[in-house]
Amino acid sequence: MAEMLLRIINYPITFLLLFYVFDSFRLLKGGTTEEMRLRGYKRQKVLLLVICTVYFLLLYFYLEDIQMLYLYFLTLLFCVLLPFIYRTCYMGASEIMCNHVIFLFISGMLLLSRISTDKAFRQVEIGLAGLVLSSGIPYLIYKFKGTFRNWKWVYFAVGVVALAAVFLFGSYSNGAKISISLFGVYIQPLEFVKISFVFFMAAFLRDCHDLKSYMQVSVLAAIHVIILALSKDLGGALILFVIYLVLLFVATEKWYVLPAGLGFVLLMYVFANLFFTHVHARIEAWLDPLSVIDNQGYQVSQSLFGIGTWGWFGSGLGLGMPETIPVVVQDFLFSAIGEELGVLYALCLILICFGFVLLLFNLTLKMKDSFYRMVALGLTTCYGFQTFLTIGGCIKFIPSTGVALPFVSYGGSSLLASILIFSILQGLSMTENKKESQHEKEKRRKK
Amino acid sequence: MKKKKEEKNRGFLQVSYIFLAAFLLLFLYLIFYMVFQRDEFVNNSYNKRIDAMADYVVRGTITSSDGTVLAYTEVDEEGNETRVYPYGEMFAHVVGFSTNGKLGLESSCNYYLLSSHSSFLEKATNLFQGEKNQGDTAQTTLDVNLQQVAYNAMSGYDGAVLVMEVKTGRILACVSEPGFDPNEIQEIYDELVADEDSSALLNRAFQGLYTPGSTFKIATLLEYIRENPDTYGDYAYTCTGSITEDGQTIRCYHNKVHGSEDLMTSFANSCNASFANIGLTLDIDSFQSLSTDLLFGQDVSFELPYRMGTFSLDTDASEADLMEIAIGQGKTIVSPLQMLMIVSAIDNGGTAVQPYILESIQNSDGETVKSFSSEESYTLMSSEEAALLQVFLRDVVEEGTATALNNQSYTAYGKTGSAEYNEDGDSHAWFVGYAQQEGMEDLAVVVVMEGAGAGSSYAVPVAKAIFDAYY
Repeated sequence: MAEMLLRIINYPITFLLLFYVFDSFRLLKGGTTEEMRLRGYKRQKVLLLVICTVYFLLLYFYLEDIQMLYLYFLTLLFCVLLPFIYRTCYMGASEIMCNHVIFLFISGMLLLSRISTDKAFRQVEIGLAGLVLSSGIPYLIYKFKGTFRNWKWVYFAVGVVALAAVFLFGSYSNGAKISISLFGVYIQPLEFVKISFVFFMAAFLRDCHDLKSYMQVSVLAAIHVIILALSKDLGGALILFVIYLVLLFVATEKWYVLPAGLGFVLLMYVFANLFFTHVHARIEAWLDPLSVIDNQGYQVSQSLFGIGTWGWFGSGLGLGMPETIPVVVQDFLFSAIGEELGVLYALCLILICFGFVLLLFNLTLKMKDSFYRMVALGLTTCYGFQTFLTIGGCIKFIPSTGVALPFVSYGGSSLLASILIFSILQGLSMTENKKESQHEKEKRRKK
Repeated sequence: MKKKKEEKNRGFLQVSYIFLAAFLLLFLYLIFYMVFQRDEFVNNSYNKRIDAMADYVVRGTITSSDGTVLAYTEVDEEGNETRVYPYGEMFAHVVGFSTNGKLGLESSCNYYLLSSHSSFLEKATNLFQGEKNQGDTAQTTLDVNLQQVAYNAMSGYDGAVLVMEVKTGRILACVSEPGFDPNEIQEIYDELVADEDSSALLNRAFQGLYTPGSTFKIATLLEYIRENPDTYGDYAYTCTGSITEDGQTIRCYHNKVHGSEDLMTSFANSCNASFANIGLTLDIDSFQSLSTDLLFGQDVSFELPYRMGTFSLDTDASEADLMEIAIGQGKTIVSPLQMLMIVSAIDNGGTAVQPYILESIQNSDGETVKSFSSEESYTLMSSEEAALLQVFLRDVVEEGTATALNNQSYTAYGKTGSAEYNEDGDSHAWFVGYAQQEGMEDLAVVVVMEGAGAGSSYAVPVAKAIFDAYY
């Protein structure tokens, strides 16, 4: 009975999700009143609650595992805690952004619960801890808004030291050194270095006025990237490079920065293809995975098998075979979502991620302070590009690069860093709003 | 002030547009994969999910081109499923089996047979009643009648028969012996695998590799014509039953003395001495390049496992080697599929149409879900060369070693072969050729019978039986 329900429930749920997506974009446009928006967001919350409840309940009945209910309540707690912190305690966070994060987190949790309850518990516990730990950040940003821009060398040092530590003491996995064990726990410093790097770039670019200073920034940024390349974390190197490129482009306002950067990346890729066997393997796997399916093409092939075998509505949660995809809980969780919750669901997820990126850009544009504007842009680029890399790698649009999907993929460092990024961005936005509302108050008083 | 703000924002906006483009591409690519690529991609033996589909779908039937059932699943009252093959050993290799690993069409069509395109209403009803959906039907190009004729005509010899419509690429019959009864595959599988001598699981029609013997003279002839485009008509040779060069003697079959011959009579009589003589004059590099044209060592896109032959001639080959290669002995090997494509190219102006077996996929109500046709063609020789070879192949039937095919309602063309494979002079009997009749399709046929003897005595009658049945 539960099995049959799991098979057919994807149809109505996907239909409901379409409403969610539709609301997300419709409410962005002008011409909607505050009231309409609020109602829309409430609708979205209800939808998310329905999705979460229905699937966890069905999983409980199908797997006959009480842990499903525990996971349900913990996930629910996360979904309630997030808006509580950011909308009730701090008044001003964007409600729709909170909705999107909740959607992504739920999607990841559903698949993780079904694949590995241990990992699912870990994920939700880290998520809750992360929410609590980062809850003070918007306040810090508000209080010390002036000081963050002066620590450029601190950001540089933190980034380089963390990356060097991985290079020197890290452990290999899949041909690259990306994690290091600290007090018995494996963390991926890159996730946090992404943040320090953004601050580093923003702080340095503030003081850049001539070619010499731009060159200095470039060299310092290159140090980060080179250490990553030496650790063979090419996905990480690519992300930092793109952040550097975008921020440089906007700061210098020179049109040739982007194409030059792109050309440079392609050149590097060709170079890497010739000299690094593991890059060459990745590219072969991308071009024709079936021909190398018993070796490097196995992962992408299984990913596409999972996505494609069951049709547009998926196999049903718990009824597919996502475990045949290596590393499915991390980089390839998107494929598992596509396989079991359906390709249409996955397509909606892409649209929602994109909607989220648009909202972040909106937030960036509203920033008046140029330093924080750069920070916002950097974090937005980081999230957007990383999402693009992950999903692109899952569906063979680009060669897979070994990065995770923020808020969705399993991974303590990834989840914490994503929450941190969200927290910082909300902090920036609320600081701006507070300044503006204070500004307004002063203006009115003067009148 | 506002203008400056707009200018300042421009960079940000441009970056956001780039992201828009990137995500849009991602979105569209996933849709593209689902619509166009996934059927073919997913149908792979590494994809274990397909077998899991058998939990929801009853495996579909495989039929011949006129709908006769070649394989189906029988479900008893308790829901146990048995795969039944009404024609048993006759279609064993090409239809294959699905229970002990997968072979033949049961393998290549696995995904289709376990997919169901039943009507929505039927699927919904099945879902609520807890019943399985009916898998789709795979309609093949095979012709039961021709298959029966070919199978019977082989009368106990090992080897292979292939019959194909020249212009469309449809394979009408495919026989491979020794065979097995797929209805009993679960009991006999281990035995079959362990038996190294008979290799009964191998589909010799597509994967068998044999010494071509005199059928290779087609290639030698073509090479001679290519190297002597103006003078090939002047070729003359007096056959004394054998030729000796470089310490090696090549004899004509049964030491027959053919007397004075030109190029056409040499070919029609399949005179070994004359062709060994021709072989001595050929340029090795040019011959090697011709072999690549004739698909040696090449890949074609065929839906089942296949092999193409190998042709290796070193630049420092001795004259003895040259003579042997010219008459199709030595290290050269070919597959029946390859020979089929060569003769059909000759009939088809030099172009071989890609052979195929899967005609269409239909749902349980008989509605067509997907149609297939030959998707590629290969140019093996120029149309002038093909036209010329047609004349030579016709002469073999009119005056040479295949006269049993002469004076029928159809016009036949071909080449026989008796390929020696050991020192005792035992040979495989070959016939490769095609036939035409006004108003009907041209049919290409390849027959190889292991150890049977002379091509004209054994393989030609099999071809005749097939042509007689068809025309």
